[in-house]
Amino acid sequence: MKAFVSQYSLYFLSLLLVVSAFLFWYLGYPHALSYQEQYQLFLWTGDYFWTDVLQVGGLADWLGEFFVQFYYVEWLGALVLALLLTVFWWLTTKVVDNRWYAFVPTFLLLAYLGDESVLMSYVVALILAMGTRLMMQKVHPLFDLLTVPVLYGLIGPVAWLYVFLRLIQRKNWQTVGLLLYLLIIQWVVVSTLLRQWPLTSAIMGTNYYRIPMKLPPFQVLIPVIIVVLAAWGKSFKRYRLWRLAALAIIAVMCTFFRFDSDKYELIRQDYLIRHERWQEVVTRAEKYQVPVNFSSECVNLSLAMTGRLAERQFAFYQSGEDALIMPMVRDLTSNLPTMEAFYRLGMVNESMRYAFDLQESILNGKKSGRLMKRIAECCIINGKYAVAEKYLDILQQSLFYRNWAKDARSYLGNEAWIDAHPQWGKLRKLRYQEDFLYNYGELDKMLGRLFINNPENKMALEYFLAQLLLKGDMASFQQYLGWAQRYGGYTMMPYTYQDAMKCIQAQGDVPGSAYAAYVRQMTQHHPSAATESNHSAH
Amino acid sequence: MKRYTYYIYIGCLTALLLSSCMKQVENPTVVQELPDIYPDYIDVTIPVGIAPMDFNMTDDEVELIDVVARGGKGGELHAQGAYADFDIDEWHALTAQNQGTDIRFTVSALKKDEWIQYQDFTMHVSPCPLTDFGITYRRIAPGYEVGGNIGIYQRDLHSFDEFPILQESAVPGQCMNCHTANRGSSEQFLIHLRGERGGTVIQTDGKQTWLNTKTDSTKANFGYSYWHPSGHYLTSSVNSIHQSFFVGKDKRIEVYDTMSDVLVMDVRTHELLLCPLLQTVDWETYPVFSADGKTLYFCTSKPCRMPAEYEKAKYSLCRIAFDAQTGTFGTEVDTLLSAATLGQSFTYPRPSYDGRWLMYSVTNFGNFPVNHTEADLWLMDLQTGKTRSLSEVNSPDVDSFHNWSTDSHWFVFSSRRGDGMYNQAFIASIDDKGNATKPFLLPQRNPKKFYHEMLDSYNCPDFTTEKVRFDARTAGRNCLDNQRIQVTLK
Repeated sequence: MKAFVSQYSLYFLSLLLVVSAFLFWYLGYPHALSYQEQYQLFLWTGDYFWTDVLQVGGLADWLGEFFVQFYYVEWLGALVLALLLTVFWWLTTKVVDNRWYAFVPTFLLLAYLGDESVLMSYVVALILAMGTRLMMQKVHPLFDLLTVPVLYGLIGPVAWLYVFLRLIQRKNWQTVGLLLYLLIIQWVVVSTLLRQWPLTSAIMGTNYYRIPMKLPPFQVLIPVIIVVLAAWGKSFKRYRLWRLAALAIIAVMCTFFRFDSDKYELIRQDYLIRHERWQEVVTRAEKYQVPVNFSSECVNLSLAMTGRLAERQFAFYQSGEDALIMPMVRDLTSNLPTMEAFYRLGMVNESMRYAFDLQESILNGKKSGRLMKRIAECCIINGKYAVAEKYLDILQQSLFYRNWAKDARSYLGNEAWIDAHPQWGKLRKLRYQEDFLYNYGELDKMLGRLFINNPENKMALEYFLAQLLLKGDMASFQQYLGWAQRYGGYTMMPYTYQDAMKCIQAQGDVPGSAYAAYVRQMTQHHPSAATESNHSAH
Repeated sequence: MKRYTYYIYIGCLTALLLSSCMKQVENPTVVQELPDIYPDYIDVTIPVGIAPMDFNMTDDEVELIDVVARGGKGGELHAQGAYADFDIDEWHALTAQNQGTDIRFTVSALKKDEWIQYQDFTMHVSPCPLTDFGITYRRIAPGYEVGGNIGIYQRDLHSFDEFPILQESAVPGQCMNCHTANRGSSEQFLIHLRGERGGTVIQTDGKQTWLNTKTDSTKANFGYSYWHPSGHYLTSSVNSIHQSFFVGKDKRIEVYDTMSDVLVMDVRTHELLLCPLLQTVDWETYPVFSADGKTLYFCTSKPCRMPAEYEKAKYSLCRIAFDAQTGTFGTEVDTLLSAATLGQSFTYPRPSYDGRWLMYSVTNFGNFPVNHTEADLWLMDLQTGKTRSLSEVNSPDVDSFHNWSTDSHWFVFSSRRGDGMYNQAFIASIDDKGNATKPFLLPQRNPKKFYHEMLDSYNCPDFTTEKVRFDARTAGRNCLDNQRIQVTLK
């Protein structure tokens, strides 16, 4: 029985790991997969392959991107990631010669993946390093003269893991020469081919982490632990199993600690917005909302899209004047909800601008399927067909954007079709018909102008009045409230507007009033703004 | 010897196999029209030794293209494939053999199993060689506020090779302005970096010097710069540059200043030479030295309330004398083109290095022609003062960012004529009478695919005499170290 268990436990544990990792990602963190997928655009072309592979560590990069493209389909992405994690674990069991110890680096890796900037190329590089070490088990050491530089070229500095594992396997002092050999190779490459990179990045790898010049401790820790376990793992055998279990528990705790709940809640909100699951955004926010402008924007947009912004805006956290539309922030995530809000409002040029700058903020220089799609849509709406064609032809070279791009391409130049398109045609009517310069400082006026441009744009009307309330411009709110009665289509005055009017009449002294609470919140944070707000209210 | 014979046999066999792979153009339907090719290289003028002028048919249904290029003075090339792709050495030999005359192209296209032969077209090989190594340019996605994967590159004009000079990866988070060389010199140039650790790096004879160009007495860091021919001075504007974005569907960005001045720096001492006539309440910008270094050209506009009055900012083209011996300025400003009189904005002056011409941009208003679809290139004869639009070069879309080759027979500029969004680099020649030739798009292998998939604009192209050698790692280190030489007032 013991032999049977021993023989099959590896398969059982593999299956257990696949299933649990799959459930972890699919049920717990599908939004994390979506997040990763939206910051790359894998193309099925030879050019794309060679562009990646001709970089140091390029094969790991290419394979990493290859796997991440499947994240577009949640269950498939979760399965791919679960399989990769299991392969990693399985290879670690072979390298450290103990299936239980192998869980430690595996859980650490899972924990590290909680950092949204970790690229899959790092995981692939670890797998390839260990896989190569196993393949070279019985190969003469002389072949390492070829293997080491090739491996370094293909997976980058994680090739050091291979060299150390080889050293441990051979237990031969001559193999120490391999360390010197890789050191020389790396020095030559860093000094010649990687001159366009800072020294730290060039040495530690340019494609394992999305943010340049940063070296997360886990990136070094995981291979070090593998090496330690491979070298001295057997001497740990005198420890009892419970100590090992304690290690695993620490690793699991570490995993959950790394998956920062607030950060992932924001990522989830963006994911839900990306898939237009508006009601889920609102439902989740009813239970818990991260008190930041990103979240306010997501919830407000979702309320608007479900026709309840005027009713419930102040039932949720409002960050201030940026709770509807955020000014430009130079990173790859912050402006996503604003980009979505602009698009749905009919501020097509602004949505394109934000999408463009978000795409250019991807620090490893990759393009984004999601953002390129949005840019192409904006170009189609604006009649910039030559540029739209460029993006659509690129998207057609991907796996999951291909069909959409092919369909969108058939619209190019066909004004009647675009006008009849349920979204593009509508946005053509909603967008500004006149041209003027965008001014974030006068956002309320711009929203008002957007509404005047097309009184059927109810979202613009609600955003306009909401912005006046956020700004505390009570005089204007009262002045334009008539628009809501005339054009809003409400059977009765929405709660938010009633509440705001009561606040104005009672000079903010309305017990239980959500808007009064907001004004108080703003008073505490921005006393000067509040004075202005009170002044307006009077 | 026997071994060499084998090699010859193998070579012949390979050549035979390759030639047998080529399809014969049999019974073509001859049409009386020119082939519709991309890029439009029909009737362009090219220099000897330029990279092969590969081209595609615009019609995607064409399966195969067969091109025979025959030189007026002899020589013949044959290319067949998905696009016209010429061997570099053979192409160079053909252009060299036909300097000063034409190369005639016979194009046949296989479409739906039928060959169509078009009317021949020609390219003219200029008698004026292009002696420069290549061009430098900034590659940048045509975005808004984020530079992205920006980089300064150089391209060998005699081949398809492109080399990075400085990429964003070397200086993470910094935006970089264009490489500004002294008359295309690879030995003396500067690059401005923007961002938290911004600064100006000047490289002279391989040595990098990092400067902090903002002083308490000047309005901002150096902006648009230009070298004095002696290499002892450089002139620069100091601008407060802003950009605003259009909400409508046709325009995207307006870049404008809210103040600007012009100054000169003595490169040897890092001292600023200020002139009250260049530091007025008006907005002076885009300074450049004349070929002999005795005149400083610049543009100036009356101040406006920006961005509300962005359409009122119109720049006149002016000049002032400069004495390099003493580092002093003249006492009068001479207006060459008055915005108030002519109603347009004149910016980005670039004098030819032979002192004959002045090329500049004309727009309806503003000082950043690259965002103005009406932006055109104009030419001033510095001997007669006569000006004219370079209509043989201009397009309905943006034409801007021009610079001269070191022998002043060629110029490069960027244009958005392709798709209205991405700038591409074009090159044209100019004769002694100021007549420009039809410009040609920077050659690429499989150009239609290259440019269609290209997601960067070619920004501020300029010629370079030799390959630029710049140590990006050292630049990155210096940038992060934040050690700068502070420029001072003289």
